Amino acid sequence: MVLVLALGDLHIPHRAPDLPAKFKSMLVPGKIQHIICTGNLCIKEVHDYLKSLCPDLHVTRGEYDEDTRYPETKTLTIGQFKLGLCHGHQIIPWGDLDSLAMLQRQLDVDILVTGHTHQFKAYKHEGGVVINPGSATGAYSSITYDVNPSFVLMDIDSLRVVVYVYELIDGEVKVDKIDFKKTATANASQ
Amino acid sequence: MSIELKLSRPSRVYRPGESVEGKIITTLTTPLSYHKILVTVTGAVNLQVRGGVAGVIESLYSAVKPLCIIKKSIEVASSAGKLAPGRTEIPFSFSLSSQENGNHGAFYETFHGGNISIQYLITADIMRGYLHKSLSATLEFIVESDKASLAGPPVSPESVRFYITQDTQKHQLLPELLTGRFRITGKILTECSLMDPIRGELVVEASAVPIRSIDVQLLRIESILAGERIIADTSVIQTTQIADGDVCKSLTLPIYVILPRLLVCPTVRAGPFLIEFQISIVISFQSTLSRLYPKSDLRTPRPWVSAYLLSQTIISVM
Amino acid sequence: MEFRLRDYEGEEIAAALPRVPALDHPLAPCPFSSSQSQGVAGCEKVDFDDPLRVRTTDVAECVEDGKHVDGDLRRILSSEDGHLSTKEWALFKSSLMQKFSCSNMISVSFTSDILARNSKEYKTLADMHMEELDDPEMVVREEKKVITRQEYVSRLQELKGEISQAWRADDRIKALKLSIKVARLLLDTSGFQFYPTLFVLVIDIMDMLGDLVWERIKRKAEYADDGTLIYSLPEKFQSADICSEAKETCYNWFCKIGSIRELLPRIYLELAILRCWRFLGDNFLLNLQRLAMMMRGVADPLASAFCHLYMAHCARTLHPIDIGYLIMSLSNIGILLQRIIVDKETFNSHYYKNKKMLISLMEPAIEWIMKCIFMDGYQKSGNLISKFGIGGNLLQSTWNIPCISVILHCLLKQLPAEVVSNNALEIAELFEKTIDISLDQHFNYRLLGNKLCESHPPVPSAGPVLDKVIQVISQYNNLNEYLIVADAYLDIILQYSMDYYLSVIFDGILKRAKIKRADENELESLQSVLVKLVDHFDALEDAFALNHFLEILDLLYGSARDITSMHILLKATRTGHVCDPRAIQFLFEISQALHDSIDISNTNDDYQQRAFLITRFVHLVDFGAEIERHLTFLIECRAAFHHIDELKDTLVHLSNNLAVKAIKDTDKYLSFLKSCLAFNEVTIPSISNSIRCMTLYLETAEVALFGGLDSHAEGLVNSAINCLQCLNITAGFHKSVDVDQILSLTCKMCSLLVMIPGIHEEGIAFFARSLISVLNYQSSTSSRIKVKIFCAVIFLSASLSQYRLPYHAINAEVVGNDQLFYGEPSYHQELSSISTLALQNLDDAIGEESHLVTRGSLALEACNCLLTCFNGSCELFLKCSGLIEIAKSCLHPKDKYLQSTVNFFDKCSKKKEVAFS
Repeated sequence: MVLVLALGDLHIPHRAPDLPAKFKSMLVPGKIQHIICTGNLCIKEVHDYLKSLCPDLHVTRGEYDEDTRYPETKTLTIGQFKLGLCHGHQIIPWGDLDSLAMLQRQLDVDILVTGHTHQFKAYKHEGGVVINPGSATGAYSSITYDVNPSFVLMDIDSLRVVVYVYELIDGEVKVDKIDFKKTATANASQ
Repeated sequence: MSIELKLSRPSRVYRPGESVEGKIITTLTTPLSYHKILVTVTGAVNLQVRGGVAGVIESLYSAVKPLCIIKKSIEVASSAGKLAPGRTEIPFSFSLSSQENGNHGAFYETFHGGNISIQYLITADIMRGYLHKSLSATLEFIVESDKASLAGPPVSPESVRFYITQDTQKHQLLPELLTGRFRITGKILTECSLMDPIRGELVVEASAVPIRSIDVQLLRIESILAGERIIADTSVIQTTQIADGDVCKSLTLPIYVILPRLLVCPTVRAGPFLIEFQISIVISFQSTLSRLYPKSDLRTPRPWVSAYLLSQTIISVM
Repeated sequence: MEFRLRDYEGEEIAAALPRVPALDHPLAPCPFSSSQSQGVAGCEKVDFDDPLRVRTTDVAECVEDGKHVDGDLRRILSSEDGHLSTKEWALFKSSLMQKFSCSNMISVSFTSDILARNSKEYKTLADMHMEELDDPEMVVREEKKVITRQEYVSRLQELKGEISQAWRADDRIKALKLSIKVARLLLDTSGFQFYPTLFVLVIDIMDMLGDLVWERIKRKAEYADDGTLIYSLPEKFQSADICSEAKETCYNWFCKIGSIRELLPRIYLELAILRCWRFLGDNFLLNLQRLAMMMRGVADPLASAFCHLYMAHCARTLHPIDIGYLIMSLSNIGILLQRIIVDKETFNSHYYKNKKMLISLMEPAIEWIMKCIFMDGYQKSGNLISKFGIGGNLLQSTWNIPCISVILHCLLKQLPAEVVSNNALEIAELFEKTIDISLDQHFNYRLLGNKLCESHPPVPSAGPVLDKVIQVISQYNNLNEYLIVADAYLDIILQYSMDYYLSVIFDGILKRAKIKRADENELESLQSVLVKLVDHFDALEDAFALNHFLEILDLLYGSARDITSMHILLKATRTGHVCDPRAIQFLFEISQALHDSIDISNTNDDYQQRAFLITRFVHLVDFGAEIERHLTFLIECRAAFHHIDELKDTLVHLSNNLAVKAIKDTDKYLSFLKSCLAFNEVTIPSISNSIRCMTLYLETAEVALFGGLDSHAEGLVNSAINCLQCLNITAGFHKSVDVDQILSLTCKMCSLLVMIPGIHEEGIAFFARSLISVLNYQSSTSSRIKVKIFCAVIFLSASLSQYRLPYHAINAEVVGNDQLFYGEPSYHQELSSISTLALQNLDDAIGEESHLVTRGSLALEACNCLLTCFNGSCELFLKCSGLIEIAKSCLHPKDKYLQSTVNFFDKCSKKKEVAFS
């Protein structure tokens, strides 16, 4: 069992002063094995904070990130899964499944994690899984200012992934889960 | 082909009454026949009056007959024999007991002075008949008195107190010294062993004129009975500064003088010669005059110098 | 070719993974273990002063202390480490050499002969030494030579070489004689500032000789003449272990050294071979006392102090348990100091021009000796200080060390803070009695203050001590001295909340500062005082609430003011928000002063620090609902902090944030939104970096769309394209231009254009055309950029052509293009023609790429783009298979992207077949 925290679009401090306190109290060091962050942190302090939660931190670059060393895309393998990471502002149009599928083919990954729209999404499309963890701070996005803070925790266990979605709605953390398996057909379709 | 003498003690120091052990070492390439092997021990006091010290007339008699302390020969090998090639060691030994030196005087300590020298030598001779020159080697060994042989506990160190003021000085002093006055006191051991430093202490109680230096001089007086007269020669053996500059008043300064080796021996008052030591404490004051004579002998009375001579004293046999 | 018809919403619903509420999740606080641990963690923070906790830590500390003592003891017992380490000594030596800078020229009086560089003299040097060693007279020469410091140093290094060379050549007499010569150099203290350096150089040689002699005698004791090992000496050997021959040699060395006439060289040489006394007897420690006594004969205070210092250093090798000799050293130095202090007439040697200078030269020696006293295992420091007259009657002090400020200072430095703290009042009383020129009194008071701050609370007599100190410094007229002392006690005053003293000190400072402007030293102390105050209080408001705080702050200027300001800002920005208008105003002024003092002389770090703090402050300012006031503040900031480029980004972000807040929270936001947009439109062009400008234009455009200002948004996008134009022009020249960032921003802009109504007079495809023309204008643009942007244009056209766009502006007043141009043939015509244009250019762009792998992946990218955007048709498949062929010719057949694209192509063409069949 490997826990992977996926989050992004914090926009600290431009659009939000900090992560919601309820999220912060849940995110304690030692529980999470990997963090993947889609980008727009935006300042170094946030990077340091994430690093303190888990040293294995992977970040791609959002358009507001100060740190220019973050790559546009990144892939990593966790267990049986290959994960792809991209912020998502480069996708035309934003959040489009076909365009994301194209990126997925390009990166050759099972799970593609992108952000930018600040809305949690999880799709199975063209044989792969696409996840958008939303904005961890509920910052306004390019499309809307009506955003609930959310992030995603993936529990990867051999061929099975349980995606926990943490969403802060009216001051309460709502947790949903999504369950999927890497199937033989998923492999065949590639 | 070499012959060498080696003694059991690397320091070559022996005390009267002890037996001196050693060996003759020969290193040969070919066999060597000998007639006999002889070890000769000589100890003598050589007396010499240096020109200038005693004056012209005395210098004529400058060489006084040496006094023999010990002279004896030991036959290490009395009968003829042959030495094998390579290294051969022939041991020998003799005693420094006063019975053996018969009529001669006491075993004075080895001493190399200006006019008097006391020396002990071992000579080894390998006699090879008349056709061949005999092989020989000579080695000096040192005789020191034996502390342990002295009966009873060591003499309690006797010390003498001394005072140096403007009034104790016989020579003329600088006027400022006379008006300003000074007083330096202290004490010093009058007897000490050769191996021990001369200890004492000194306090500058008062001095209006700043002090430049305080020195302790060790003087040696060698006296020789030459005919009717005693010719004495005093020489400085060692000068030891104990204060450099105008030291603080009323502060006890230690006197600590290590006796120089070979230049000093226990005081000897034998009939034909005397070896005695003196200590002189010399105070030099700062003055413009003193700068003009930077290298002057401390023994010369100068107006800026006052001294205290511990006349009769010094040194013991210990 | 026709654009493929999309049903974004339907596709999403179809693909969405089912989502169910999770009853349990990994981050859930576990009812037993983790919730408890969290609870405890919470407790720790809140109940920090829980008595139980404190006690436990105390026990822990006690245990640790015990270990400490134990460790100390062990260290003392293991003879090597119980003493000051070699490293510390080396550091001390180098500090000696650096501390006292001196002029480059050194006048050398007597003994200069060995420093002579004349080569002729050189050869006869050995003979000359002989003469001089034999000659009991001190050679006093009035004439003085002047040589440079470097010459002096290098000559001594040469001498060191000569000595070791002579030693190796078995000419030990020469080595000794040269060493004596070197030691004699220390007789001359007229070099004054150079003396410490000289000392270090000389003792370096002495140490070397000492090592050589030690090794030689040790060898004699361990090896026979023929080199065979007879006996291996243990570390802690006794004199009985030494053979008589080795003893003989050893005694000879002492005799040789004993015959040196002059006192100081004799002492130095004996110290050099001091540890050799161990070969001769087991009472060797007596020699330390004797040597300390002998040093009384050295009347020159400087020479004496350093001689004592050398003894302290050499004595380490004997590991003495008794520190009597060190106390005697101190006592002797003390007597000499007293003489300097008291005596005016009789001690008039020409070089004592400056008594204080002299004392400061002697201070390191005192300090080191004091250090040795406390290092050499003398644990009962409480007992020791009574010897100095503290904690007992001064007159009954058995050691009889004169009570002199500088000695007291060094003593206090070495005393453990706890001991000082327990005797603070007595020490302060001792200071009162001890006033002399050896050290300005305020330094002692400062040290006492520092020690008290160091010690763990409680300070038993904090009140009375402060009474005393405040009373003493109230007599000071000098602001600097006043500040130095006050600064040292500030921590205690704050710690015990002795507000009365604080106000007394503030009054005192202001009173003295009225007379004249603070100078550099005073500024430093003032800065320290203020920084301590700022750091002490939890909130800045508490500091401001103090009487005179601001007045004292106003005394500062220059860098001290800047540094203090930065501390204040740091403090202020540590808390979440800055809401209080007075605080905002104050911090704004401080920031402005900080900003205004930025000039070229600032280092980059310093600039960064200031920019960071100011930016942070601006970020944290919060006017709550008064958003207009906030925007005004931003305008003020823009004017006030115009040097800081980075801040402008922040200002734009903040103004956008304000605008979004207004849109969200209020009904009538339009005019305010327009003000914000206007603010951004003015601010963004002043940012030097075009990429950042583009980013900010796009963000502002998004915000404009939120508010329904679509024409503003259009204008802002246009500005963004202009930025791109500027960028592309420079792209050819600077490789550092961040191509990835430009590309991703361009893509982002295309996605944004989906939402912006294409009511431009030049038609919907105006921006797409502008993009293509930017590319064409730039012939040198890399094919990668071209391909990406042409693809972007195709993606954009395909999206715009849909009957239902994937997303719309959130504001209902902005009509989407799908509604605006519903069924408008010219609109679709336009999109079709622009995509055709892009398609045409695409082939050329791919062909231009010379790098094979890049060309291959660009072909795949174009292929994927086309397959995604267009309906399956023969033309499309022909084009795509052509692209795949290019890719196959460039890439490895097993390339994953190639394989997945081929799969995708097959899937699309099958679908087509199905559709046709």
